[in-house]
Amino acid sequence: MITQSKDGEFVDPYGDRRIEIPQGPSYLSDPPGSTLWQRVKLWAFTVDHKRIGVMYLVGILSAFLIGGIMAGLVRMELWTPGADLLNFGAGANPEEAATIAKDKYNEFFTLHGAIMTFLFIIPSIPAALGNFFLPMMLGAKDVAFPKLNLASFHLWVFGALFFVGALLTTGLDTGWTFYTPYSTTTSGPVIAATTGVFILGFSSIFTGINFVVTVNTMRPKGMTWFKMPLLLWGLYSTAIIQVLATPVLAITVLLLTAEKALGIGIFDPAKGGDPVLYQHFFWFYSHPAVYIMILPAMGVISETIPVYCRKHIFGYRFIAYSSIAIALLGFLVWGHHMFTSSQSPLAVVLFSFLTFSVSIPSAIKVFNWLATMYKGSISLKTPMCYALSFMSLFTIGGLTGLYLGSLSVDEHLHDTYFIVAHFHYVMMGGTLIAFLAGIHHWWPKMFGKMYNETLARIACLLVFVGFNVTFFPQFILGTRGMPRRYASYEPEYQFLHQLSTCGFFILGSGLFLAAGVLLYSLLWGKKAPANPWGAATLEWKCCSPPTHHNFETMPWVGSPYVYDDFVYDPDEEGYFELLPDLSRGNKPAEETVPAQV
Amino acid sequence: MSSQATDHAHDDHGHHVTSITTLIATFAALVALTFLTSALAQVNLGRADIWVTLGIATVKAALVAVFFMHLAHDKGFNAVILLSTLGFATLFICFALMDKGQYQPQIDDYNADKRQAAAEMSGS
Amino acid sequence: MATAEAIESSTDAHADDHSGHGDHDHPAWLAHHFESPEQQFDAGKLGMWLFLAQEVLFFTGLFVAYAVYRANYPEVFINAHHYLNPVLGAFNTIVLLASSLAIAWAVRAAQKGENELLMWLHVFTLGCAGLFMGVKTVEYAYKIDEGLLWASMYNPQHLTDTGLHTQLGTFFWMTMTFGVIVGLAGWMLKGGKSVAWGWVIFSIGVILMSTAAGVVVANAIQVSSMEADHGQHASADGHDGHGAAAHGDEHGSSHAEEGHAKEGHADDDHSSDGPAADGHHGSDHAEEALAPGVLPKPEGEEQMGAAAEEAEPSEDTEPTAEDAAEEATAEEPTAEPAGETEAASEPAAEGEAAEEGGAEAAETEEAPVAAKPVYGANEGNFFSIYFAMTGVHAIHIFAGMIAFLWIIYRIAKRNFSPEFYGPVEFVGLYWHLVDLVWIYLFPLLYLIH
Repeated sequence: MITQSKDGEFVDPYGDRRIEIPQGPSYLSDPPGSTLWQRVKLWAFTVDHKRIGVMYLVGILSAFLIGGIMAGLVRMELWTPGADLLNFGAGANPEEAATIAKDKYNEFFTLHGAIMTFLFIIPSIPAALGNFFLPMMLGAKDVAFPKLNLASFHLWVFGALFFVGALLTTGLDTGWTFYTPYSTTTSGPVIAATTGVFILGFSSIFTGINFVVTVNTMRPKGMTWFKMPLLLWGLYSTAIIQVLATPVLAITVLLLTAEKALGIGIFDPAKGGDPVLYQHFFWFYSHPAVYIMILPAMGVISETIPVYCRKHIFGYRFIAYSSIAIALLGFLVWGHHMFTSSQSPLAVVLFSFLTFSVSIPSAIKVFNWLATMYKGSISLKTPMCYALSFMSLFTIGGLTGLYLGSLSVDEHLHDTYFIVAHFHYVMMGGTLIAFLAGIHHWWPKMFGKMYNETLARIACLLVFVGFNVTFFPQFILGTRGMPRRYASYEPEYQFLHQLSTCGFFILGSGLFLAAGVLLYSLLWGKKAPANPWGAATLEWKCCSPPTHHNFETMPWVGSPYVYDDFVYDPDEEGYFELLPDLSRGNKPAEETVPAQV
Repeated sequence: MSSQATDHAHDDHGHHVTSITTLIATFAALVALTFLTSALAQVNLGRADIWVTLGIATVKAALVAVFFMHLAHDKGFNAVILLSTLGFATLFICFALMDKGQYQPQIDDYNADKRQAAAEMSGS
Repeated sequence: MATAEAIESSTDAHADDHSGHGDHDHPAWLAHHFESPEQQFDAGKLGMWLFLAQEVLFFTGLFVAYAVYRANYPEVFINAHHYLNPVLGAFNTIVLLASSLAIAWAVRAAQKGENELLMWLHVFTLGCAGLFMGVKTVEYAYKIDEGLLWASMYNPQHLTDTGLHTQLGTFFWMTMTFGVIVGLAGWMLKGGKSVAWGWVIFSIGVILMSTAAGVVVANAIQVSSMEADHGQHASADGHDGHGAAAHGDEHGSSHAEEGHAKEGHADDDHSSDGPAADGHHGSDHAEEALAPGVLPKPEGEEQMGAAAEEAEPSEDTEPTAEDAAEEATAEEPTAEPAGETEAASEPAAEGEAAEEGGAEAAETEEAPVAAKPVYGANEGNFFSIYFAMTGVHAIHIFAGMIAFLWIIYRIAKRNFSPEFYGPVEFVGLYWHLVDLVWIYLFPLLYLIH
């Protein structure tokens, strides 16, 4: 960056304090002259965490597309009060047609839920973005166990195949929760789906083990626990849950499979078993799984907000500790899914109380983000727009959760559209939106291309509006008594259902626009600078896209949220970093890490 | 600290080598406890039975963890992992047991009715 | 280029994967993304502990099911435990503890660079694992024969004996023969073409032989406990007695086999001796153990007893063979001495004899079989949990065997040294956890009252 001084001379005011980021061959590049088959193998059996992250990204987005199509079919069926769409013309008379349509409806919402939960949301941020950025943010060359990481991805693919199998054979209509006794008596391909869940569970566990070990043992010496970016705290808490809760899901589906295949009777009342026990098993995992979904999302938001406000995150330690607190408290609240499942009154009261306690760390985060924005110099780049969407949607989702946590209200709202709206606000309004924020934030780093900011922001607006139009009416539907999981309904609900379906199309068009903008940039986008947003975390201190070894020279480990040393260079349309002012307590990581990687 | 088990750069961070005496003593204790718990099974201790049995098992588990698994000389964090795992396991068991205990009477009533109905049906 | 190397290493079974990024001071076994051996070791160990945490919670699900059912149907559990033989449980506990000791010792051997000892301790551990599986096989076989299965298959009946013992005999012979062949093949291979694969194959042979041994030992224990029970409270308890009753009538016909067993035993000496170069005291020992103790039972088993006891010493330093034998002896104090010598030869004839015995037993047996309640809980609930817990545990044992074979391969490849022995310790940790789970399973399933 050259400026003209008062004397009319051309000088670089930052002189030799400017840190040059060495360029290197991108991790996306293959050795020249490799054949297509070699390239495929280089990807499919890579142990490079970045390539694994990208493969996860492709995988989960494919799953998201399938799950989204299922959602679309479900919403279109609900356009009219009768069950009249999903029979696809089959059925000799109206009753038969309606029966077929209702069965199909059950299958579609089941697959929508199962695919979105197990194949998309749970691996979304940790496995795709986390794999890519956790080692880089840490300043490590890779995750601790690169081959385990690859195995985790292969398991994901393998598990996904079982879901595709369940999809093709049709007839899986248990809901994503596989509640007994229905799941053990239905003729649908429950075993295929639970096998898929079992395998996906181990994929998730392996990722979790990798993350905990990486954060614990792979930090360069300059990177202390409290210099870690908050995304890493989020991923770390997530990983704890993945390791401690997922095995319970594994044993649950294993027992369910044994129940169905052999009739071991542990969950079957006719054989002396107990279906409520199944729900205990299932939710012991699946409630913490909600935090597997949301904690990394909160981490992403904690990364984006300070960057686009050019301000240090407010209450770093509170946000960090609240992640751990949410992870641990998340284990104590599974019973709130069972308030109306003949759980005992004592357990119900305890779980209700504990549920309210989770709102404390969640609120800490939201208030800290708000405080970060206060008096910040906010630039409404696309990731920031998504972050703002996240904050409003997650707040709505979280607050409606309190309604559901109150016993008396839950009696009324349980199994209605209110709860559908609530968890979509948390999962989709929370995790998906944060995922989109993260994708837009890190896209230049991942693929080295800038996307069209204007169109991306329009897409964000469409997603935000579409989301609210889709799901807000469902709160109203729920309070008026519309039960979930029905293909037909009373005519008085039709307007709100139609509104919701319209919202779905707005939301869908927004998502397609966002995808189009990003894909377009891959081919025709401008080359991205190393640090287009002026972020201070380590992943921005290497070239875009990174080289195979992440860092050609080890970066300086500073505070992840101090932006003083980052200066905008209009020539590059990106920021460069100045050598840290050692008086501020920054230490070069080079002391402990060999400069040559 | 044993010099054999270290790499040259970190001579002072060598891994602990468990002595043969410790290994054998641990094993002997474990076998003795196995016989003890088997022998106690012949004695009726009433309600305390399960707790005595579990207590012995826990002592055995602790022996294995501390000596065979080297927790005695390992990083504290690994012990924290094991203990917190056990904590969650206990939590899960306790909640499920508590809840089940609370609603079991209803199930029993239901089953009793059902049995009675079945008995009446069969007519004998 | 780096990626190309990564690929190469990913097809390589070793953990010394992407070494060789041109890194100067990295030893071959240090992965490129670690800075120091210490970091690699700590990472591996932490990873294994987290995996173990995961395992604990995986089993917790089963323990929850157990706790809930036991709390609610205590009578079912008290009733059902009569079907399980605590001696077998205790025997398996000791076997696993011995293997745990061996593997803890192996870590020490690795730390001190004693490769030979390290190898044999692993082979011994695999032998224990095989023994454990053999005992499990017998237990499951009895349960299946008696219809003591999970809830939907629960259909208690008297031990039929015929099919069971023929099948166990067949199983023993197949396993033993196959084990001896495989073991010999491995032994020769390791002396010749491929040391590493030779060791692996030899170890598989050891697993098979000790499984066969386990079948014999367990069957002897099982039969004698049933006998003892029968003697003590023949008419007191239907559950306890029903297995033994079947044997009561067989004494006459099957005493004959004793002699044959001895002969077979002598023969077997040679066949199974190959790999077990130092099975010196095996035969004395086996006789000691068996001569007073063996109960009348169909032929195959006697031979099993002899042969198996020999197979045992093929792992050289182990205390278990002795343990096993002692165990067997201890449990069979009331049995009559083996005296008669009559060379009955054909298993077919035995089968018939046993069948008759079984039939008679069924006729004369009067103790009622546990009635199935009309609705709700029954012993099947116990066996659902029993099979779920022990089955899942057995799968873990099986996985542990595979891991040990991998370690044995690497030991033979001279991969480990006092500087680098991480995988030995990590797999050992896993094995200890499997042992830990059994430490709880044993009293919870076998010692209820």
